[in-house]
Amino acid sequence: MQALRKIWFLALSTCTEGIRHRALWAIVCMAALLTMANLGVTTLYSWDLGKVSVEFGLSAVAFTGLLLVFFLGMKILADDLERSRIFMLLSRPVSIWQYLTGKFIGLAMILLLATIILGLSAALSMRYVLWLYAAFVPPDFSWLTCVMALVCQWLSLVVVLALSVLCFSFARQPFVALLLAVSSYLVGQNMELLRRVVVENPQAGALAGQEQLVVALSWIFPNLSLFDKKYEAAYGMAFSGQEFVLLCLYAISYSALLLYLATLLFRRKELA
Amino acid sequence: MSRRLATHLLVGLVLLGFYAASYSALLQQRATAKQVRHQISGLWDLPPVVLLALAGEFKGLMADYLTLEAGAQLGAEIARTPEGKYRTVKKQYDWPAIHRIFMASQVLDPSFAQTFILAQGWLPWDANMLPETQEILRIAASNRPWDWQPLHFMGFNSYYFLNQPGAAGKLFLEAAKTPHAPPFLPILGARLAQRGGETETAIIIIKSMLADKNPEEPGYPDMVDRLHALEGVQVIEQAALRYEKALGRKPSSLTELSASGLLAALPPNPYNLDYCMDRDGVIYFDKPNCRDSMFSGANQ
Repeated sequence: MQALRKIWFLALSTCTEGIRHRALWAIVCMAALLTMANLGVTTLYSWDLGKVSVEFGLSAVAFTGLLLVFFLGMKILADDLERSRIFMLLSRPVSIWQYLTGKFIGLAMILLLATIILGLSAALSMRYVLWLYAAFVPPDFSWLTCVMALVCQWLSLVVVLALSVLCFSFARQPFVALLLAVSSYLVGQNMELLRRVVVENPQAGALAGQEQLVVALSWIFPNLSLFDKKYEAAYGMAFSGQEFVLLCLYAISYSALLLYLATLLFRRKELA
Repeated sequence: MSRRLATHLLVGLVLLGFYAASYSALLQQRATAKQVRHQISGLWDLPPVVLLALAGEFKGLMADYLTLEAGAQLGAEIARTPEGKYRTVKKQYDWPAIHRIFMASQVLDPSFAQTFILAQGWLPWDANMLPETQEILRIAASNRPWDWQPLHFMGFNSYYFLNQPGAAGKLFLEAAKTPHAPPFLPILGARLAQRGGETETAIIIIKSMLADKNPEEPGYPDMVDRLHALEGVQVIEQAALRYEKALGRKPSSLTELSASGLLAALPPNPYNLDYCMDRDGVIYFDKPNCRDSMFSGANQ
């Protein structure tokens, strides 16, 4: 119970720190810009305007979320080391796993807040476009699917955040951690594609016949493309509640595993 | 002080002159290169797998961008005349590259309507790329089960460009199965399928469509009429086939067929018209004077 309280305290302070970085103000400005851009971009098309609007709105959330993870998230983590605040925390009865978990939850809360703000802004612009061009609303369009896609987007960002924490836990320089996190994100986005190319295509070049290696890699790296539900939301294709629950469980279990590994590696890190 | 100012001015002027000369040379070189260069290249030249990998979770956005690029390549080009007016320049299109843009866009988002509608609007007409267009439409049709348009376009292409009314009719009938398809599709599809010698197929498809429809729906009675007309055509066609087997030649008219005793009576026509057999032996339920007119199936 005491541990949970410490984690919650750390999470709250991290979230407050994120807000003090004024990142959320920047997000609000960006949300306003993207909302206006959504209205402008959609008019460039003659068909499937609803799809373009939904896809643009959800992509804006994804892009901004990634910027937050890679820049704000990594900066908050690195600041603790660079400004030696971490010694103040770890000299108190706060263990490393509590510290990392608290930081992770705090950053996930910032991401949630940003996703809600951007999601609302995107939804407003989408609503306006769908109202203006009612003939181009996909036949089975559903706001529930859009919300589920948005939650999946947040889960994907949480997994990328866990990856960033892991990279931060062993990299000597924050910049190296950032590079590793971005690379892992790119690999994670294409894991499903790579698996499909190698497993389903007998002429996969250098990777031909390496099905087991690719399957093993697909278990090591996160399969981020599974969280990408923009296509389904844009065309009004429902995806099952079972898949949604499984995605949530996958995100939680993978992030927990990464945090555990990060704790083990962080113990060996030279902080001074 | 004045000497210092003069030096600054001189250096500033030399730098400005250098900048102006290099930039204008660059612009001139680009203008010349643009006149010579007709081939376009870009992201769309990458293999599909690389394109998918590059796009990551922003595949839809990249497809949106590529269709805009295709639109920009296809649009008219305006040039300024020495008098300061504007004129439209006849562009030289790089059709293989434009086709690659469509393909790349479809790899990234196989359901995007903008891709297949733009492709249909240009490739079969100006680029003479009918097989490529049909492939784009086929992919769109399989990824847009809610949309009748890709199959409708495929049917149109089969009829208009390939002169294959039977294949066109089948495609129209397939398109008619999609929800919210316009009521003219099954009627048109059945007519073309029958004209192309696909009467039985047309009957089967219309029957299957009627089974899923509510008799109160608009267009239902028209479809029933068309079904009965096709069934009448089928009865006559079967009798004509028996005639051909028995006498070794096709009947020259419906009167001859009836007189042979192989067709007891002409079936009823829901359109209250006489059936007609043209000189090629094709049966019509809606052209009682088909033998008199210079009717050609592909052009009507």
